Amino acid sequence: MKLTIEGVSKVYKGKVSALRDFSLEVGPGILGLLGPNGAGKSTLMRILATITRATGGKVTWNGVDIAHSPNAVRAVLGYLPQDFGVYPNLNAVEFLEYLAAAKGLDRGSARQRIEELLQVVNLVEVRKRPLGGYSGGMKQRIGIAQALLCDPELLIVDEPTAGLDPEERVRFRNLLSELAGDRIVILSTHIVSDVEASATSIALISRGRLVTHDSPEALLRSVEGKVWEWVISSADLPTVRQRHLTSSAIHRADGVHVRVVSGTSPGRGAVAAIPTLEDAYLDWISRSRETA
Amino acid sequence: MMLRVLYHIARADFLERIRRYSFLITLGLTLYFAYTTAPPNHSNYVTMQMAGHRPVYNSGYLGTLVAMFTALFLSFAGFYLVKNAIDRDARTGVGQILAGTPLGKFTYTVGKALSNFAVLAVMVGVMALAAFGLQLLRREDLAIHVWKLLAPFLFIALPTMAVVAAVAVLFETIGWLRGGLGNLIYFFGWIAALSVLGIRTESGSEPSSWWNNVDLMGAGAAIPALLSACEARFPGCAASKNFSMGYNIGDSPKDLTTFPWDGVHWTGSMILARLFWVGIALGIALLASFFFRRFDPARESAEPEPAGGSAPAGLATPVGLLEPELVATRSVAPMSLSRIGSAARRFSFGAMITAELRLALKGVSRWWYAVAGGLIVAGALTPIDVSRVILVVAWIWPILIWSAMGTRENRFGTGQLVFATAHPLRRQLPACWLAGVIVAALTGCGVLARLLMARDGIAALAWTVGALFIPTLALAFGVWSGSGKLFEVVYALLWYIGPANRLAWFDFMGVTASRDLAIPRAFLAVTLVLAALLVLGRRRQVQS
Repeated sequence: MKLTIEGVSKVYKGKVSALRDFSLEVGPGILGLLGPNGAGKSTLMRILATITRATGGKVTWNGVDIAHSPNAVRAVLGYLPQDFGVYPNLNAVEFLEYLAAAKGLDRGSARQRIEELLQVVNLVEVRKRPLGGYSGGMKQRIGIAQALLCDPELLIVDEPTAGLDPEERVRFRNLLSELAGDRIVILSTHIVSDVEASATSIALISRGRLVTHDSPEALLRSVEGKVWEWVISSADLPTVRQRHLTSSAIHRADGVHVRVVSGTSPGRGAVAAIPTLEDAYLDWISRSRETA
Repeated sequence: MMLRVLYHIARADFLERIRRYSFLITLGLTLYFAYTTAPPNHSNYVTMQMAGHRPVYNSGYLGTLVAMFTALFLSFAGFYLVKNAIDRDARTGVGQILAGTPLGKFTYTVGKALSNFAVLAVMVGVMALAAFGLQLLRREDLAIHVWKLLAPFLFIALPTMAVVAAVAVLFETIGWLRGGLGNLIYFFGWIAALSVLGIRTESGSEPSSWWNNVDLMGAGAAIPALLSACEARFPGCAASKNFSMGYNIGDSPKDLTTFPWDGVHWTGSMILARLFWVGIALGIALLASFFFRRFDPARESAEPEPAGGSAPAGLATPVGLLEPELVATRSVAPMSLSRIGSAARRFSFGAMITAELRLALKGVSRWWYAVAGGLIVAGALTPIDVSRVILVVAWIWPILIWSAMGTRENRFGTGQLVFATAHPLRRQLPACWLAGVIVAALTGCGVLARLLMARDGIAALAWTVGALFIPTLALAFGVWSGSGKLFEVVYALLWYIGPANRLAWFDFMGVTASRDLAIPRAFLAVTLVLAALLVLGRRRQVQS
């Protein structure tokens, strides 16, 4: 099971370049695709889900070019787009039955699967309510359920936790970890904590280019010795922010506790801290912007 | 302050519309339409004649002629073109932002009506330019009189456009008029307005009468004057009642004798009568503000279901109204999912058709089924001639079901979910099309049974072609236009001209009892072309 992205680029009308020469090889496990807003994550997701055609390069699923044979991947795909709609007059069961038919799931299996999925996404009590009356979070959970309908080998989820409350967010992360075993899960997000818990590898993307692709551990190692905790006065905060890459700033009684990513100590009193993925993410994205 | 707000509401909406590529195409089509309104002699059609005569193509006549056609054409097509100003705000979410501002409801609806009016006024302007071009092109009288050319656009076309602009806003603010049902009601209202115009034109009352000028299309201001001028030059012209306005196409070239006429002499009372419609338009915009719900889903009376069924429960049941305990409940859910074997992944075309049919008929009211059932029974049991009339009704009845079919993915944003399934072109699209054919077949099955009982093979063949043609037209138009509106308007027009008015060459369902096989053959060919367009359009949607 292998998804290969080779030199993919996408140029929209008006010569807006969303992806540039993007290459990646993905195997079983959870790939966290991290990047700032507008980095090209959703474009890449749509290309992988055969919704959009790349303008350059190619994507292969187990060696088959998905641009030429999109159904090779569609048959095993579960896709949760960033923005999607529902049919407001159908209830959850009817909507999932409709998509199960479109995905080619037989009736008996579909019914059983839908029951199971509604349990998993916590929508059993509202299963007979028209979807038009669902909240954003509930719709998002229906989206998650439909993506899992066919027990996909390739699961692509674009900003899946948008609109979910903290409890549902945790449930979804756990579910992804559970599912990841022998399938490929690609999770696109700009929220580092979404991938922190579950991703087996992380690809950082910025301005349409792949910045780096590595394991979370390797990414953390890349910023070892570069993260500092520093207590400063409120008055100094703007200057510190201007001079250093600051990943957080918390006001406390003794001053502002800032977290700085810097190759050298940012100043007197700064103490080396244990890096987090957020530090690594900021460091890599910041460096990619400098080199661009 | 209010004027400034009005200006900005109208401006933003206007700019959003005219900056689309499709607006350029609309203007191009408008220009072509204008070109066809003044055919030269020896053409095989005429657009206006009075007992075989017409005025010379000078500034006064061309201005009047093109302005009258503008009022007629844009009061129909223009309505459908602009009836999306509030809907756009709802879809884009801008409405929610506006709802949170101090913006008044009246200001909003008038602003939207102004924006509609501005779009229509641009089209009227293009028609006026075309009238100028036509005078140079036809070369019957090259003396350009700007006022005589433009005044009819100002006094005939623009007041009509003001009303159309306001009515479009009114339809958008009333839940049950917002969707396809509203489109149909406007269509039949427009046909009725034309009939009234025809009656009043024939009555030939005095042009100076204030009341005579108070007709929406503005023809009452011009036609009596035209007839008087014709009568003066050709005695008996007006009395002959041989007046026609519209596209009269013949087999041979038509020559009309011409006479000089320098246009309508606009009097104060005539202008006042036309301004009366601007006041009416303002009143309609005011009325719309009473119905406008400021994008509050809790107060929205939702758009009617396809086929006039019950309102979508989803929109009428906002999240806030869900029982708190249901929202708050957290069941102990299993965190693992069982695996599905490859044996379970067996696409069933039957299941897909059932799913599409269920989706198409979801929410359709019991009344709709009751009427459809009545039409089936009546179609089977009545004499053959009556049965044919029943087919005419039976195949307009599901129009909103068909119109929703090709646009569902676009309208509800489900495209990315549906098109990411395997073989959407070979599976979902044919299933959706077949669901439409099944709807046609079911609603018309009583009549088909009657035709078969009468051993009318040609009519049965025409019936079959009709059942294939309708959903193909609906899907093709829906997929390419992204809205059900185009199908609703074109189909209703075709239905009205062909089956309802028994014009054989437009009769796609074979109710004129024509023995000519060429007609079903022609519609079958059109169906195939539409099917090809449909597949191309959907392919484009599937892989953008």
